[in-house]
Amino acid sequence: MNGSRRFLASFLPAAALCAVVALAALLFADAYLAQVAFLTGITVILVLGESFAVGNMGQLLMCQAGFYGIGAYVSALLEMHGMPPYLAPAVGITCGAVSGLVVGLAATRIRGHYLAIVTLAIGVIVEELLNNLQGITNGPIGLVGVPTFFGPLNAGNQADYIVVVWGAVIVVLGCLALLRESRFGWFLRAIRDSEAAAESIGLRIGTYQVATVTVAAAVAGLAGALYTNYAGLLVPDLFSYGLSAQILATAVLGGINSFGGAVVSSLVFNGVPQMAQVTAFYQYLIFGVVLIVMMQFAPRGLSQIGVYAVSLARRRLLGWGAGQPNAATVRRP
Amino acid sequence: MLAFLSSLFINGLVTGSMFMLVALGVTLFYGVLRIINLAHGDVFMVGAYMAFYAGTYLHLPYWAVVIVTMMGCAVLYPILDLLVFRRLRGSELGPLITSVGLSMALESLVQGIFTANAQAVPSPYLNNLVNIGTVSVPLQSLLMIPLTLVVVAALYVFLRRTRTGLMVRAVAMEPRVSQLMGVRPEYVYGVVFVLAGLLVGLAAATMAPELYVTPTMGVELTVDAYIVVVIGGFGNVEGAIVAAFILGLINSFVSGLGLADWATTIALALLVGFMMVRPSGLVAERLGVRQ
Amino acid sequence: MSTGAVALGAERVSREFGGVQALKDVSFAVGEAEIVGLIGPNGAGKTTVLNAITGVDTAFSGRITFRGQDVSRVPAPVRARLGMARTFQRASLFPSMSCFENVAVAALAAGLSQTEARRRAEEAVERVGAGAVAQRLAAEVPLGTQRLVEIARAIVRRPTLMVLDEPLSGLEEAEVERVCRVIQELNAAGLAFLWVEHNTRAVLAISHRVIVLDLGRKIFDGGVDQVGEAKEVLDAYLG
Repeated sequence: MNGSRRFLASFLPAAALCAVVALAALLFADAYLAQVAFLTGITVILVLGESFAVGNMGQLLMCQAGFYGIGAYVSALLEMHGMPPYLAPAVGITCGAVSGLVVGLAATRIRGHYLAIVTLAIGVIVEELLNNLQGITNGPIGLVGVPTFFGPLNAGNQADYIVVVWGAVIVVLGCLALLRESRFGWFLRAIRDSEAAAESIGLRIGTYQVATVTVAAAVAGLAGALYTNYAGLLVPDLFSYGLSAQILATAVLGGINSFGGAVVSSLVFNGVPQMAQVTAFYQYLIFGVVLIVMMQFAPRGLSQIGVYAVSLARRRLLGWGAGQPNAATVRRP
Repeated sequence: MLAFLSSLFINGLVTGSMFMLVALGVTLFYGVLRIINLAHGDVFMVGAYMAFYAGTYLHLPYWAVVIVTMMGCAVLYPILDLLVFRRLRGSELGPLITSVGLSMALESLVQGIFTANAQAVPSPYLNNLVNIGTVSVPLQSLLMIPLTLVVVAALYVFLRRTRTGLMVRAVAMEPRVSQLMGVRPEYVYGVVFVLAGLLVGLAAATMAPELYVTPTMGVELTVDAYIVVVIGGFGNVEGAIVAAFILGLINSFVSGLGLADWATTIALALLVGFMMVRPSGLVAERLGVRQ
Repeated sequence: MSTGAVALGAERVSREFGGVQALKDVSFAVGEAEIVGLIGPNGAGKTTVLNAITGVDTAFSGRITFRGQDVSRVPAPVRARLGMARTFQRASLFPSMSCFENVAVAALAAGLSQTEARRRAEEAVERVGAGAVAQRLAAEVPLGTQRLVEIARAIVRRPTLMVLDEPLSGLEEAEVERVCRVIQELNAAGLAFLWVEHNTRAVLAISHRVIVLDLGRKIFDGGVDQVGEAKEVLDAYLG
């Protein structure tokens, strides 16, 4: 199954792109752009987790924001009670994984549209709990004065923040790409392709669904812990159902099961509008309209456009056929 | 105590009526087109702004506001279908994702036109208190209940007794066979969008006077509608009606216990618990028939 | 033929769907290394029996035993692990994978190491004679080949019983012969078969024994040479 070659093919381009983005941010970013670079890194992590679940398991999760929120709040609360910030990523991953496990076990037998709605409900429950458990979360006012990794973002430490978040992006990319080429990944795609056939070769579907939700949730939990230690303040609104929907949409826009696509789509649809200092209102509008238009004309996302562009370029520039490049079909001008 | 309980009960019926009007559209979309439309609550929101505009700027009488809103939504929905959903027929993921985009686009467009400030829709019945025994209820709320009954009866007659209604049910049950028998699916889809528009328009026009009208008011309603539809069984009209009133009553009584903040959480937890027991909703048997 | 050891047993299996009796007290056994054909007119209950045997449906009454163990309530994947393999009426390969990968993923699911899985998968693919198309996408090969790959995927775990659901439907004459030959070869190596098939000629040609169902009841169970003389069978088919 050519595991290592496939791993490199999916990991290297995406990781290289991330490294370039991070490097550009390190070299050229002012304080504002550093902030954008950090937040975009967080988005990339969230989208990668979702993309892994949707692409390999073939099921929609609409509660990434919930797992993100749990990772963020738990690590914030522990830090406010004295935990050193460098433990936060581990805490975020653990909290995400545990909550993913719980959700996965609750939804073992639920699939398809039902799973989308149930996870949507779970996401909203988390948001409501963050609002309502006022004794712990301080309700809608949120947590203020959470410790951070390197203090408030400034010219002195922006490089540290960028290295931490984009380093995490690359690690997440590597782990997910490894997982995708492991037997676990193959089993997931077997289940996605045909549940009945997967059962006939001895795979218990529920088990793999629980595992996938756990992985996606752990990734989101990590993003939450990183965000906390940058922002220093949390409010429930940051973890709304709308964010889950946007994460799902960004993953789909990138092209399901394409890590490179997920990175590009997070950059294009989240990073660029922020870089251009477009107001939140227009970001929202543009994202919505682009989403509609993309789904009309390229429902398989940016990676579909990428494949099309490459084949078009081959045809135009090199005279190759649209299919596999093959020496026999090369027409010399 | 009795007065308190009966006021909660009436309140629950009113809320349930609203849930039902909104959820019926959602369940029809799923039953007939097999799509999840997460922008349905946002169409309710647009309807509420139509009512606001018609009432506050055009100074139309309230009955005209209701009609304008219903007509407006009934026209808006087929247009949205044409622009947004039509190219994605048969796709499972596509319409859901596009509806997220539609939801965002509608919210920001409305915010662009009317700002994010809360608006109020005028209605002459809002301050008209009706005494039922020891309970006094605004006439506006009370209006919902008979209106809803009329609508349910009309929908029932439409689906059971008319030729078009028969076609809708045929496409919902056997899309391929009904096509062979000469039913044009696009016609039926159009009917469903108009119906969903009429229902959600009615809900918007009658409920908006009692709510703060804001561009994001639809999100929560979408979630509520999906709770109703999942508990009632995707695509099941009768199930949605029953589930809507159950949810309405739960909402009302939970708020009555002073736990208004927890109403949504409790309803959602109920949904998740329900799904754990019946993973494919109330209509598992019906799905078996379809395959 | 049967040496007396039973691979699969169905004991008084009944199934009701909303008041309709789809199966009534059906009992039979499949011996080790036996090929048993399950036939009957439409609506006889063949699919219902298969669903009960393979664990797709566990809401029947009665008992299914597999190699002496009661598996009536055991879910489908666990039955596969116990050594009961199956194919589907509508060939169900994993369309995003190549033919080889379809078989290899089943070998991995059997818990084999990467290298061992690869070796076993190659062996299974060769065994059904699908080596030439191994690298092609499963969705792109002809139906007959898909059925063979499905069989290869099913045998990679080295099962003791294979349940085939209409493996010949939609195939051309040459493909029918190929699939039948593969079934006979695997059987010669010790694998028991229970198969549902509409192609009665093929069933009678390669089965050791046939079971005939009609309206949810077993009306015949015996050698292929006697089935043509059984009055109940003639009545069921000719009305």
